[in-house]
Amino acid sequence: MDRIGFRIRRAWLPAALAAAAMAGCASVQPWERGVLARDSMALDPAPMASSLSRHVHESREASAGGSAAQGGGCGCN
Amino acid sequence: MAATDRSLARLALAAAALPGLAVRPAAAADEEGIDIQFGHYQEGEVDLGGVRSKHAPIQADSLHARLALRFTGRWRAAFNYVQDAWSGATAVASAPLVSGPNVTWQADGVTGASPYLYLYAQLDERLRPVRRDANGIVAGPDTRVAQTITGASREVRRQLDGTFTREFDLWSMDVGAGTSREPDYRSDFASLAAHWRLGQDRYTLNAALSATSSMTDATLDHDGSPYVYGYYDFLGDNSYNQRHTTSLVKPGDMSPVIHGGRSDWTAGLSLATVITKRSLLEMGVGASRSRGYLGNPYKAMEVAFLDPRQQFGRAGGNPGADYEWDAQVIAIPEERPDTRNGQTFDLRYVRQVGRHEAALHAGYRYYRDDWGIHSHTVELQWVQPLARGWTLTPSVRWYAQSQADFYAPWITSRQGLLNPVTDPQLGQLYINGASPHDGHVYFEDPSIPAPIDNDPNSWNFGNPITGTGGYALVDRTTGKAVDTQDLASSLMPWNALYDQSLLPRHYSADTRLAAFGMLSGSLAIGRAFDNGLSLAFSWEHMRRSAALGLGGGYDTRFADRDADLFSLTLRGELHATAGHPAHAGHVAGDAAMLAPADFLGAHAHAAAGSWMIGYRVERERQGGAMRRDGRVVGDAELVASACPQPGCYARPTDMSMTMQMLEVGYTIRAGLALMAMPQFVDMRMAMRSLVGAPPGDGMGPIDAASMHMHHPHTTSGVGDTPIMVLWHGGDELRFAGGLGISVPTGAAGLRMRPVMARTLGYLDYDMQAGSGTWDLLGAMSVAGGDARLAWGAQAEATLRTGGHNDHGYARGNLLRAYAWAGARLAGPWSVSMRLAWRHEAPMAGAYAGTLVPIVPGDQAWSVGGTRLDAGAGLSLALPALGGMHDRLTLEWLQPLSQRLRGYQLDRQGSVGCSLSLAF
Repeated sequence: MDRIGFRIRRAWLPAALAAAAMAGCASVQPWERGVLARDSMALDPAPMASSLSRHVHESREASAGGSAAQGGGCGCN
Repeated sequence: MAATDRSLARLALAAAALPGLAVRPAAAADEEGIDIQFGHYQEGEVDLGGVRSKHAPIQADSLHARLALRFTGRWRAAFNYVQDAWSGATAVASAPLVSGPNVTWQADGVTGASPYLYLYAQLDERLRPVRRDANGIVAGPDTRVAQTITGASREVRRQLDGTFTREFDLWSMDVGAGTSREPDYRSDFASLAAHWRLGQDRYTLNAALSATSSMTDATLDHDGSPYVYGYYDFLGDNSYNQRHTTSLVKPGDMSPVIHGGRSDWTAGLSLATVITKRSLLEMGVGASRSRGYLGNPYKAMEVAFLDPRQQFGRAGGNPGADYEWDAQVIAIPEERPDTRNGQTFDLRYVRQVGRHEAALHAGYRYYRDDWGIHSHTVELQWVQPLARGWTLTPSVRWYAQSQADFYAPWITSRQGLLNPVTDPQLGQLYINGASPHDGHVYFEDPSIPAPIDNDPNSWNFGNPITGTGGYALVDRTTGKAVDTQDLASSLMPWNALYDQSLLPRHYSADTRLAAFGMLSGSLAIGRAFDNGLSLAFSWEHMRRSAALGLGGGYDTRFADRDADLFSLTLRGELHATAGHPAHAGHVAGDAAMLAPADFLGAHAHAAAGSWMIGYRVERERQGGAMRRDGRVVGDAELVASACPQPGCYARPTDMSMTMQMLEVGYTIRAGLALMAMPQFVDMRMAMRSLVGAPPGDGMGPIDAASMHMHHPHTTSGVGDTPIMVLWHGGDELRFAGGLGISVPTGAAGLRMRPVMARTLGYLDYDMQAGSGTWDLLGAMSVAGGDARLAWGAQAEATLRTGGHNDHGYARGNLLRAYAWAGARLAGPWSVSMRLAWRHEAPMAGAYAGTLVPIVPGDQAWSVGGTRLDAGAGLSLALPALGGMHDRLTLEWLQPLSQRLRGYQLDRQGSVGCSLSLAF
């Protein structure tokens, strides 16, 4: 029972965090988002380099998958 | 609502529709541009217990080209082409160090060519391997493990994918598909994603779904697979296929081939939030579902078989022994589950810090699956913009995972590798080794007299025909005694391979499934120029550490190693240079727009400070007949004359060379430019045996090299890099000249991988990626005409001034000259024709190391020659991309005559495609 409860708590954790984030954010008007529009503030500021790095890590670590990336090859060696 | 509030709301909505005000998933993801990235990955050596592998560690070269375009105001698309070439040492299995998985017989401590998979160890009562000291006395348990290393063939993977995006007022949708191909694995994938902008762009909700279908088609290592048991049983029947439903083993030309299919589904949901004017947060959850053959065909598990019939220690009833168990340590194929389900949770936080526009990126990822693996990943990145468009980005990454439920470096099993098949009444059974499937089974019968051998030609003439026990052998089916010595001599005890049901259901020694961590740090430096061009270099150093693993598990320090990843990324934003004064109305450049893409004057139209990027792909093919001095030669002459004694064994049937070249030019001042042209090359050669070829050498190097004929040779990697200074001048007649060097960045000593422990040495000269020498480059050109009709000529030379390379040879000087004429057609289209002459002088020297010559191309005197080509090209001007001289060209070159040196395969022609963009 405790285990089930733990699973439920863990499943709700992301949702709770999301709700907290949405509730906690200030009302930032569009014209106040100049900083957020910079390349350095993009969620991935260097997508080409990070794509290569991710490919290498996924071929060397076990926790591949779960992202939207596809392909990537066998990575058998 | 007050009128002021409504106006404010409308303004806010209008402002929100402006690009860049929503949370951006990736820099430049929604902007038109072309990206080209070269990457190089290099692993360090692992600890093999004091022995060095003769195989170099894994390394990979990578090329990634990306093109992002906007078709209309609502549609955009992005296309990726990725090419990786991997080669180097790979681990087949791991075993107790004391059992000697990497034995060296050489004084320099370099392990032999064959992987050592058939091993022996002595274990104590707790099943720990024991180590003996110099006097042969047991010195205690030794639980150290080492991997067995073998060389992986150089393999090239190519991936092509595209994503189309349709934008709506408050949401957008991506539809993508792609394919990835490599010799032993192919996958096709599709994806669907949607992004909703909510709350005046304060939130972006993303949902994504992807499906991948993959197929393994792996030829097992011909050096290692003979020592891996479990594909076939004692009688040679396929036992692997009886145990598996998602994969099967088939016999191949050189060694067995594993086929298996799998499907992978992933789904993800994320929410990106604007928290403050200076910070963003993204959270996401994801799930993955995999079905099918999820194993690694090249990995094996070492099993310590404790055969009760083969015990000589205390377990065998010898109380005076100083150890307990004798173990045959044998490799068998790994067994993984056919299903895998995983879940992820991602968190990413971005915040501007201080007044210097720096941005802190912090990321966390949690992963878990039903294989028992869970992992944490923490990333910190600091993006620091500097003056003049420079950006410095240091970052660190910490990753830790637990081990899979079925991971073990090696396992034990209390049974024999081979176990006698017996009958409760008849005892040990025998089969005919010469005909094991004939249905006859034999046993020794002490109750009947053995027949006397009456064959006067038999070595046993006049004596009883018996089995090893000295009794008569009886056919269980017929009940008759064996009465010929030939049959008796071919009978052998019938054994069964190990009982699979006594092993764990799943097991793998792939260290990627062990508990370990990975620490890495990286530094990237980039510069963005005003004209839309940006350049970035990054270096990442990573270290695997078993000490960072989660949740205990096996100690896998034996797999710890360092690795480095380098990348160079060039990006050009399309439309960024429209109306750039550097490109406004150059008459000379207009005439050059009609020239072939590699014409020197085509690069000479830019003003000071401007950049040019070109991407060229050329593919040349050889096929058909073998020739010498222009005449067709048959197999008999090739055997007799094209190779040293005893002669040639094979000939190429089809060869292709694909070169991808990135051209980067910078105009230092009007009339003077600097060009660098890094290249990525692929070569492929298919062969067949020659009729009348000499006999083999009894499984020696010739026979081993001949085994490579069953599949095409392929090489791939970075080629040499020309760097040139160009100048141009003139008015009616325009002249251009260039002087530079060719940097030997391409490998000139690529070798065949060993077969059957035979070192086979170098590949053909024309299969090498580079020259291995620093060469001098010179070129000059002249052009005339106008924007409607133009002509020109060019001469080029590559002079090998640097002596022999490290492998003992130098390619011959290369001379090229061509004349061309071009005409503009309707609209943006133009055509060109050219007549091209090419001469490669004889090579100096020859391979200094091991070479097993079996084809004519192994000989230095069968390289180079002279040929005359005619070419026709079609060009499309692309002013819509922003540059006045942007264009796409396609050209075909057909040999008119060829006089190739020595014995070579006919040149069939080449096709080239170039994209040139000015900034």
